[in-house]
Amino acid sequence: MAERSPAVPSGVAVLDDLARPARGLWADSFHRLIQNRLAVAGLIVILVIGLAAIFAPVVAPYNYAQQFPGEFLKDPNGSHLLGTNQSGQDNLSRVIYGARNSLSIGIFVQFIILAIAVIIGAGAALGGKLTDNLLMRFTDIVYAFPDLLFVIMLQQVLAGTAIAGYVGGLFVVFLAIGLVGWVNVARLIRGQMLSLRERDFVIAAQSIGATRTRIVVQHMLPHTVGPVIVALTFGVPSAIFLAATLSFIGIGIQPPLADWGNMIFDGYSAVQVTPWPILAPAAALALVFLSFQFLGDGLRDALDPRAR
Amino acid sequence: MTGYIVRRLLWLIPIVLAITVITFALMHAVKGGPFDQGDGKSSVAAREALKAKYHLDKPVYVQYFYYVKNLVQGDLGPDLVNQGTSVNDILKANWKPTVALGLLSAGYVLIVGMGLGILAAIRRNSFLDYISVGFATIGASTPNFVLGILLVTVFAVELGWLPAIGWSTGWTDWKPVILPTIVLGSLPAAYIARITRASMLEVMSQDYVRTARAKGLREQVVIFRHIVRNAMIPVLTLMGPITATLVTGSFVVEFFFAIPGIGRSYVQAIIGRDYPMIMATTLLYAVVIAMANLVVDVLYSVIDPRIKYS
Repeated sequence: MAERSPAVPSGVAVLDDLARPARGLWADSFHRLIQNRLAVAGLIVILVIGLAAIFAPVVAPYNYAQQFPGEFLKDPNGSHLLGTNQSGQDNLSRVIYGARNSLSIGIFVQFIILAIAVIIGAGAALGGKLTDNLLMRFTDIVYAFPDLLFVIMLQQVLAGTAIAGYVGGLFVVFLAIGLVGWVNVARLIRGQMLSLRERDFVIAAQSIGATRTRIVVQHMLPHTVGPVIVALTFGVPSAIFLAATLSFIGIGIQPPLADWGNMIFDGYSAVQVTPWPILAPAAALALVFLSFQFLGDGLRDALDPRAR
Repeated sequence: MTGYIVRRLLWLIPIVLAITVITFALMHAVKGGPFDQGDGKSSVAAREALKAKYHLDKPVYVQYFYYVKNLVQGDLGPDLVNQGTSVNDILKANWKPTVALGLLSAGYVLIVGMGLGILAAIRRNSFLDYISVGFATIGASTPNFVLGILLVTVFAVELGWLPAIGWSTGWTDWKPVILPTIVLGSLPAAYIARITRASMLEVMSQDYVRTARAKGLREQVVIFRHIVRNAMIPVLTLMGPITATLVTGSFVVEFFFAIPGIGRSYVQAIIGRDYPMIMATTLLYAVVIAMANLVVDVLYSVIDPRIKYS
């Protein structure tokens, strides 16, 4: 608006220049996102690591469990670009395969968090006063739990049940982290919905007789999506860190499965010989963390409709 | 204000009770009790007798009733794994390193985090600012155990300046304290530095700061009385979550540095299925975090008199 000063001649041509192309909310957000260099860099790194993880058998030079006799704790060389660990396994291959576990934990946990958070957050905002009170007090209680403690307990409980037999230890780690991590997202959804309920467009929809379901699905949920996507994006690296911490304490993903946390733990015993078994997964962790952080920052700016 | 604090403290009671219920249910869902695996010395009969002594042969809800009854009397229960000791004994023997580590790290977080954030904002785009932003970025993207490995390798193994494991034995024994404090505090310090810097920059562009300068106040007065004090409000909001980070982080750090604190005995308790110890630690930490949140909320109104609780 500030550019439209009266001093500018031939107003019509200038207004044409200033006019924005007509774009929907999502197209506009995407446009703003790709203008943010850090966010794009983060997105590219995530996509590259994600693709490498999916196509690990093709991309990785060796299998994660393959051992090279006589090649223990080598520094990087021609055949092992990031060196080898104390079992004679290729660090690069293990980092690539490890990305499968670490990334899938980070991402799948968000789906569990989203499912629980939508039910509790939307339930609290849309249900009656009693439902709201009960659900929010429950949220307070889960919030009061120290998260790592709760994850460790849940992981131990779930690992002993029949569920673990069906789906394996990796899923137990997902579930434990997801069951603990939904609190902030649920509060976010509730807060958004409560404020949306009072907004003019919702009241307008009510007054023309739209059904409750239609108002929630058509008018309220789309407005909560932005902040929730941002929260979940920031949640990915936290979940990866938490899973890595569990592996480091020794109760997460077990060797020979590769996971960045247990690789770091294994590498620690031989750190004086070579730092590469630690540096490789630690660098991958830091890279993924920063990428999601930049992407989250970019999404937060891009998805804010007021930033237009 | 007093009424508000009392109400918040009373609200702790249902929270603590709910946590005991959840923890109790979870721990009993875990397969295998503390006396299920024989240690080779005790007979089956002896193990049954132990179970009976600790009411482990009764239904879960009866066990829970016994637990709460003792809890109200301040008795956290017997330590099931180490015979003859109680959880109270273990906590009494182990609380000092944990509390000391927590306080030292909190001090480190405040001094380094806020210090770097304030300096970076005052000297924006200077070398110091870049160092501070770099610290905030790297510190936030490195899990504490990775930082631990790096620091121990450099300062303990290569240089030999500081011990790699263990904890201080007295006031003059300061060397073992340094690495654990830095490892535990760096991630929250990085976070605080980032938020402090952003908050300072926002406050510095406010009209009242320009007014303060315009009326000729000394720069230090402008910075500390007008900028820092107002910039602290968003930073203070984080102190609750940061306490939680320090508390849970202490498990990993105590485990990593073999510090004889509560965090390490918790990890051991999990492996040994030592129910009373697990519950006691969970309760203790939940209460600590709740109290920290209360203190933060009270501090708000001290820093910003506009905030009033009724």
